[in-house]
Amino acid sequence: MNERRIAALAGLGVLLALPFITPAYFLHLLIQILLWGFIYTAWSMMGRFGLVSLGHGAFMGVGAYVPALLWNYFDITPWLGTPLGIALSALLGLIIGYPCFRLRVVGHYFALVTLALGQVVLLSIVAARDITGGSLGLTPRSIGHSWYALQFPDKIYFYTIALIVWLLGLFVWRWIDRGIGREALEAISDDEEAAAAIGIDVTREKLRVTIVSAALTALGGALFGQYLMYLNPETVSGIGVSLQIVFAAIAGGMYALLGPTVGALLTIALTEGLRVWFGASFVGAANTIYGILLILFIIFMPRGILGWLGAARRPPVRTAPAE
Amino acid sequence: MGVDQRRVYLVTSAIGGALAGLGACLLALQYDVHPFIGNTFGPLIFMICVLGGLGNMIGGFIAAFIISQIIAIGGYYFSAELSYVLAFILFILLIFVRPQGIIGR
Repeated sequence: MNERRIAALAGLGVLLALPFITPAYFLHLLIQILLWGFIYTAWSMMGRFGLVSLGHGAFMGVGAYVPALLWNYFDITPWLGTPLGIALSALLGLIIGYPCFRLRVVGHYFALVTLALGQVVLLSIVAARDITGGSLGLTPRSIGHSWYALQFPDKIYFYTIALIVWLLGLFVWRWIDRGIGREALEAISDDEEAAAAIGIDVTREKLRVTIVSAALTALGGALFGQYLMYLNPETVSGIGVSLQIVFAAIAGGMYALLGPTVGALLTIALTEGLRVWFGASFVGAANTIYGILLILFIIFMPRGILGWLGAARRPPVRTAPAE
Repeated sequence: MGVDQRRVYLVTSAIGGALAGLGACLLALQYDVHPFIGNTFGPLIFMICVLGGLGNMIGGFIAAFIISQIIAIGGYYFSAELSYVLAFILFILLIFVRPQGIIGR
């Protein structure tokens, strides 16, 4: 335990020192890795208990668009808009989760319902194009460096924010991992009927983790919007984003604390590396290789990189729950 | 029982892929083609299959008819996107009421 604590502190020290030695481009990548790592971690809170959501883009979209719209139209600071976006996203999770869990919509059916939810949010944003700008996207009104508007031209501020939020994500993940809820949720994901029979409130346990996951995803979306200063329905709520969240979290390993972050590191390093490597010389090659690698990862390492490494070191404690 | 599982899976997924390809060829007569065309139809296809009941051909036809009519009529009265929103919301509600599909037992 002590060794791990030292390793964690050393890692944190490296993360704190990095912005002083890396060029701006790599800082940009680091911010993206931390923000996506946070969102993937939020997804894995549900994913590891068999609640495979293919619609986390919905929560991200609500979290990103609500503060930006409030800021553009009503001059409401993101400090108020973001909590509102998070609350709305949690409410959305509740509205979709409660009937799902109450009526025992599980497995593939749950995945499809969330997929439809993602599409509903995406298309609603596009349909409200008079307000949201539709597929052209939305740019939060820029006023330069401002704490009030949460806008910083200097990347170092967002690096710090992303780091704090990422640590918050890990902390919540661990809190769920250590809590009583975990045993209940694992029992539910193994056999829902049996779990209900021994007195576990299935609906409540699932709703709790869904709402936490939705709220954190919305926070990630809001920060993403504030950082990039540009929102597009396809890049926050599109089906590509929702699936990318699932793939990266699974590729990294959703049963390990740092798994989703490793997934973010891998996918971003891969996309950026392939993009820089191939660039304009062979357009599309980067995406093709990226897709093939993802397929190989999911076939040969279903428990993710960290799960695979962990299994190599010690015998498996618990097998992955069946779909 | 002597059934070669692997072979059956291989052949079914090959036939499934081929039929999807044929469907896409026919779609190309109606729609313009672009690399992201799958994104528009992917979710809809899933939903129609589930609404019809998985493995139920007749149900699939009926579900496809209902969904496409909602999209077409909704597109006429509201807007293209809102009609899709309507179709997806209907799908979510139907999953709650009839997870076995519209004409399933």
